[in-house]
Amino acid sequence: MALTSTGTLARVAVATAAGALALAGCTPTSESEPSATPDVVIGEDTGEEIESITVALPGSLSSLYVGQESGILNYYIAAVTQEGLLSIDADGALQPGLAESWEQPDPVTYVFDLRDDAVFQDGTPVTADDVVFSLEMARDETQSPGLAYYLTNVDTIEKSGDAQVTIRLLEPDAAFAANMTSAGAAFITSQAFWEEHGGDVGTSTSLLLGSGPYQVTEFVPDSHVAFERVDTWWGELPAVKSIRVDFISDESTRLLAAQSGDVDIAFNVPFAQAAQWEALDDMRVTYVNDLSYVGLYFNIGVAPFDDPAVRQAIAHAVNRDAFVSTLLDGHGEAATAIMTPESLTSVHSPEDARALLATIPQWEYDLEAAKAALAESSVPEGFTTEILTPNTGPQLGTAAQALAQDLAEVGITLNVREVPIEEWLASLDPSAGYGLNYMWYFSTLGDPAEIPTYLIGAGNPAQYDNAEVLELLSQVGAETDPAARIDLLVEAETLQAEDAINIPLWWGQSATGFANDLGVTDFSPFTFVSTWPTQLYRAGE
Amino acid sequence: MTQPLGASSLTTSPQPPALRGPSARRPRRRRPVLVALALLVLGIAFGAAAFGSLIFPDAMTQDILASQLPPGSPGHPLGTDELGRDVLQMSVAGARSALLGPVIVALGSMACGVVLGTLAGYQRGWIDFAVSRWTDLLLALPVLLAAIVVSGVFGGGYWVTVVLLIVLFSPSDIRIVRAGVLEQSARPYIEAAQMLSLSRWRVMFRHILPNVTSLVVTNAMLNVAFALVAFSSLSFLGVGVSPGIADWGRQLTDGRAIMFVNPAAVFMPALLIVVVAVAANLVGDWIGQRLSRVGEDVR
Amino acid sequence: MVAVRVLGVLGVLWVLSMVVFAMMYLAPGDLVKNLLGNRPSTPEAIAAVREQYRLDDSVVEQYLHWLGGVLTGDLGQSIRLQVPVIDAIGDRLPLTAALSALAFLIAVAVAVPLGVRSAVKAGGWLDRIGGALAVLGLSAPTFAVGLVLLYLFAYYVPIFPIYGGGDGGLDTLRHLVLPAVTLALGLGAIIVKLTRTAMLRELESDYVTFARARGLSPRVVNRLALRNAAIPIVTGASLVLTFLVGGTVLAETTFALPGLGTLLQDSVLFKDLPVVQSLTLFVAAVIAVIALLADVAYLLLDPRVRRQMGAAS
Repeated sequence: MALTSTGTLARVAVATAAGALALAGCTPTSESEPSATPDVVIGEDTGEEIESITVALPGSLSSLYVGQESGILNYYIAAVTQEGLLSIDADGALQPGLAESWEQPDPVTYVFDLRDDAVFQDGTPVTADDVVFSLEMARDETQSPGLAYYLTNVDTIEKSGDAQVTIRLLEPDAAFAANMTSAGAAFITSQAFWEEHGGDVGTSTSLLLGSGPYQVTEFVPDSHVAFERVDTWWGELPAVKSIRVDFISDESTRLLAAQSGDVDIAFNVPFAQAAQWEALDDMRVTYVNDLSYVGLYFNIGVAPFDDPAVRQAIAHAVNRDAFVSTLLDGHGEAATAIMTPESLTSVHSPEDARALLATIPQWEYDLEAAKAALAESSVPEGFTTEILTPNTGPQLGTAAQALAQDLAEVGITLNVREVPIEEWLASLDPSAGYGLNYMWYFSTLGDPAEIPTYLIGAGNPAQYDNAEVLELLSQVGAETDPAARIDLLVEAETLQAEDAINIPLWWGQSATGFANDLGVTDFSPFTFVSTWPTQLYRAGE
Repeated sequence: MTQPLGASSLTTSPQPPALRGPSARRPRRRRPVLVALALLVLGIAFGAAAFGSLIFPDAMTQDILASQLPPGSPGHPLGTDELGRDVLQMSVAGARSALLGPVIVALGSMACGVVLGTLAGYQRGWIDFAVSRWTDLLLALPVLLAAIVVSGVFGGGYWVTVVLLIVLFSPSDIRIVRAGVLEQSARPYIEAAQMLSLSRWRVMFRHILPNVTSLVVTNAMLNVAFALVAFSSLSFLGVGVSPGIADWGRQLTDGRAIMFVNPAAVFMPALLIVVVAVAANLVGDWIGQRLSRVGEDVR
Repeated sequence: MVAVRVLGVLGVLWVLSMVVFAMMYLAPGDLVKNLLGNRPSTPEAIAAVREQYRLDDSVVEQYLHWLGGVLTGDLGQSIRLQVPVIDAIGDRLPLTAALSALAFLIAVAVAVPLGVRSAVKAGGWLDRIGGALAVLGLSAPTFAVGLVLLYLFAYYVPIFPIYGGGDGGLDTLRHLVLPAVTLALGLGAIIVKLTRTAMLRELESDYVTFARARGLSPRVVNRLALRNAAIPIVTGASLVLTFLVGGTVLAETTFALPGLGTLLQDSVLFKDLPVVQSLTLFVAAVIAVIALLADVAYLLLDPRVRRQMGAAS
């Protein structure tokens, strides 16, 4: 759903890749369970209250409102204070949120019944009017540029009872309900609060009002945001009383802060530093698949990438197993498809999901085949090209350098240029004219169609226009049976793989540092997009 | 319209003999041993810059998916970096990129300074006004911040940075030369030259310029040191040298990620930058003194 | 004279505003993409955002619109932070000002006495140490110094907080110690050099020789020389200021401080034009004003230049 950050995240290039004596070609990890530093055992819940915790973020947020800035860290922070109509549990299944139940009387109609005990942090009740208003604001492009896209299929949002909201879609969309979570586009706030601040919510002066268990008390961009526990939340009172989120954009500084014991939770620890975080006496690092996809794609409107043989040559030079085992230190998984295996778990077991995705044709790492393909192409003598890598993803930069070495052997000169995340974002536009590009995408919903729709659907950044694929994707939109949707998506991915448009590299994991005296229940890829502070507890010795 | 200039006070100013105390009391500032050492350091550094690629032709094309090793590992006396590249080889190979840019920056800004500074200081009038406003404008731009913007506009990269730093460093040269020229042109010997109706250009370049040479050369050496540091700072801010190029600033920035695994990956390039910058500073000061003395003897 | 200079400064600021505007306009990156994020977007959404921020106007129209706002006292709204520009800058100004002031204070408190002693006892051990420190201060990248301090104070002497801006008052002061020391090293190096050179020059001049010959105590003589040496030291202020402004970005990034340096950097990257414009002009104006004051002081203090000015005009 979102990129690491459109704002100010860790603009500093902290170098790269963890080492370890990994042999090329060794099997990457494939478990979807979170894995922690092996030798750390976390004690039982002591039931104690926790006075305060400090969370260290690898960069600043410029707005607390996800509609205004929608990086993955914005989602994590908004989830502390705001709720959606629904929520996502550890398995990725939808659960009640502000709506205690919901039903779908027909394929385009969703009816949500609100719970009657939900209250905003200022004490006013959450009404159906507030919900309608919040969603209307979310679909407005200028109020919520970061969210509007997910509600383009919405026809009407109406209050259909004292505590009931009905949403009608233009076309059926099997994945729509997930958008009504705080992992999607539903961030319910009070209409009175929004209007009091003229729509400028999430700023340092207006802060943010939600119905979650914590209230924002202070927000200083580039410095910190502070939360206090409230007793207005409908759920069980969480153990942590106050949360302070510090923005520390320099990774070395963040590591040293953790070293001096100032940090309880550190989001998105870079893999290059993971070993050093693991070595800290009172911290552990937990890895979990984060539903992110990293891959290459060719802009086929740019020569010579319009030539399939050129694309195949590059595809054959991609050593994704080595990227995962060495650059990611095994914390990731070589990707066989654009869809992540986690997005299939509503239908398939993790093993079956991987088996299914592996049926999509792959371009094996084979430099001889790459040379052969290049010799057949329109540029048999090779050529020079450039790839931009975002500075917030150092592992992408190192992978590009590794690729450049293999390509040099094939006869293609690849120049790697690291740029600020904002410049990289702009380069994704087909008109920017870059032929070989990175795609780096974080999904928060876990809907299998989300990433393929972006990468091979209408208006995709590769300018790939395959009528068959587009037809399959429109069927996906209409299909309500999840299993059948997935089969259609596999079919579409097969077509694009044969055309060598997107070359999947890896499905990512994120590393989170936790203090050893802080436990977390049911840690999963979806933890941080739900009200995660409620899952924290004080661990005993 | 006069620009006074603090910048000139940074370095040793040429002293008219009349204002100077007994030369016996003039302290010798730098130990010759120290200067010799500094020259040696610069010599080695420039040697590495010139021939480093011959000694270690494969510094940047090593098997980069190998492992990170601490210093003292077999075959890798300083260990390897985050991509498994040998730190020693990279440090030697990085000299070229690290030094070439700063030297060009220093020479370029010196050229700008001499031409514009002399014109402004001696011709006065509208040229002086234009040049002074131009230096005002540039001095009002903080170097690093301007670099971030400009690197963005031109897509960043090494040579963009070089040109940018020439432009941004030139005001100090322009001001130094201009102030020196102003000071000199108020002296009787210039008045004498003018009375002999020597051409203005001749007066400017034959008589005034040699008297500010010491300042300019000293400043050039200082600029080498400044530019070296500025290049590494830009790498730190993510707008300098691209990854995959051997360069001390880049190494220093990248090496911080693994500073506990292999401290040499970060301390080696840091040490090289500091040592070379110190050496350039020392030699700069020394040249400044030598030239100002030589100048007096000749005069 | 001063009026002409003020006009000159205003002219410089005006040209600068156009240069910065043009550069931001040409810079790669796309405000729309920054707002919409890495995801598919509908043409309507793109059109709405472009409309909202007047991106379809020509660059000249955009500039004039901005200039019109500034001339009527409206600096506009930050696109990234969604607060008025004046607040965005105002919120961070105290921290950066405090950091700069503290760094300046530390640098002056250490460097001026050191520079004076170095000159008086030129060649002595203090001179050598001072000289070594000065050269080191000029040669070490600010962020590397910051990193070393962080390392030291995180591991060995955990007495100062290593990141963040604190909660105001004394706490903020405590938080600013390490970044200020980091900046002061480079700053102090410049001031030591300035002071030493200026003092040496005065001490070698005839009036000092004469004063010594008359048997005035070294204390008195030194004070006399320092008073005259103050002129070039004071006029070095503009140089020192630019150094400080550039350095604060590095210190703010290293120590996670919410100051103007990081604000400018983030705003440039996000293409948040109203903030970039106002902030660059603000910084430039501060530097220009200080330079102007220094120039005026110089004109008033140095009779030789004053006389020459009179003759020239």
